[in-house]
Amino acid sequence: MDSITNDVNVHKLMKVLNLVAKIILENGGETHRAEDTINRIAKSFGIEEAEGVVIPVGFFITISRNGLDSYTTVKRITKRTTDLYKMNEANRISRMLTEGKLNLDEALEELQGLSTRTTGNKWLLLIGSALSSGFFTLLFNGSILDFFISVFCGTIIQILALMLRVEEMFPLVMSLLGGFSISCIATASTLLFPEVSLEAVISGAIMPLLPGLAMTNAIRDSMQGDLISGLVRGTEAIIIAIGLAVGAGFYLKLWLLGGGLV
Amino acid sequence: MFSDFFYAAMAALFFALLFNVPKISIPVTALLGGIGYVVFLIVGEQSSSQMLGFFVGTSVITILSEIAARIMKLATTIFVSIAIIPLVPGLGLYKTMLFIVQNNYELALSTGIQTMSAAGTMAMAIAITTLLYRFIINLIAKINKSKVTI
Repeated sequence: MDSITNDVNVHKLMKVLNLVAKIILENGGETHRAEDTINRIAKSFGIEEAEGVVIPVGFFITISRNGLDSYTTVKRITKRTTDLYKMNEANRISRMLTEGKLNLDEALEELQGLSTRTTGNKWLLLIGSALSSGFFTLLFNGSILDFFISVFCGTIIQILALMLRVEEMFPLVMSLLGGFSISCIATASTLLFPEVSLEAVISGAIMPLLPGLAMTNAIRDSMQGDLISGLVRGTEAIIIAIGLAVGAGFYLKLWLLGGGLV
Repeated sequence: MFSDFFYAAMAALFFALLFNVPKISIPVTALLGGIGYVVFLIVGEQSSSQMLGFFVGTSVITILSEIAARIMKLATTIFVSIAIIPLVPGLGLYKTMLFIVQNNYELALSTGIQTMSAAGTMAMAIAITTLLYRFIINLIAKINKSKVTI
């Protein structure tokens, strides 16, 4: 294990810490995981003082070799998606670094490669969204016909999501549009097939968009003492749920006003 | 019951694709999702308390996830966050907001409270089970170490 001997290495270590924390946060890792990782890596390089304060929208890291000269970085995280493959890779690299199986240069190279690489196949995302919608509809007592309509909804949603990914305010716009288009497709399908169960189709198709996991994680964060993280994630979940409900509610209102013909 | 298991497992499997988990963990997460959902159904029915179902279902998922994570050397989060998807009360959150949008405040309140307690119960189950699991593992490690030194 190489220890920190000169300034160049401190800067390299800082860069590694920054990248690791950024990758973990951007891809759906928890804040305490990022803090843990920072502390563990810094400790393994013999850093006396290492503090990482991580909140879901960014992080601060300070390291100091002897308590006198300290290095600090602040980073803002704007993009937040869930890509557990990247999160796991960052975890693996940091573990190898602390165990001394990688040196700083190698770790830096791997992390830089990881952060720029686009993982995940668009088609797999499409299939995942479509069929998970379908099976949730079946789970909520939908029929085979409902299954296919729900699969169609899931496909449309994922296409919308892929198209909108570059836009700002992505979560809110996505949930508004998602709620709107799901209820639109579901109600339109009842015109073609009267025996479709509206409830099962909408509940199933909306599942991939729902922030249930965010809500559960928010409460879990708060219980562990990560109060800011809990608040941020909880607010995020509520905003998404409001977006979905307003989108769906708006359309269903139109539908009723139009006497079921809109 | 079997169809519920199958549907929950399949839903978890395709959700895993959506979250781009490491390929090797996909079958395991699907299996855990199915098992957790069935445990939730059985416990909820037998005890006529849905909250107990949420608690036991999530605990079972968390314990199995910790074990799977240890064997496969992956982060526990990968297994837990996907396998609990069929249980997670996202639909309740959406329905609460929908009832508010439709001016149906009474239903919104009761659905909202139910949703929050379900999410809280699940979070509690994950936290407690993880804590217990870590404690037991550390205890076993300590006992083994002391045996060696003696």
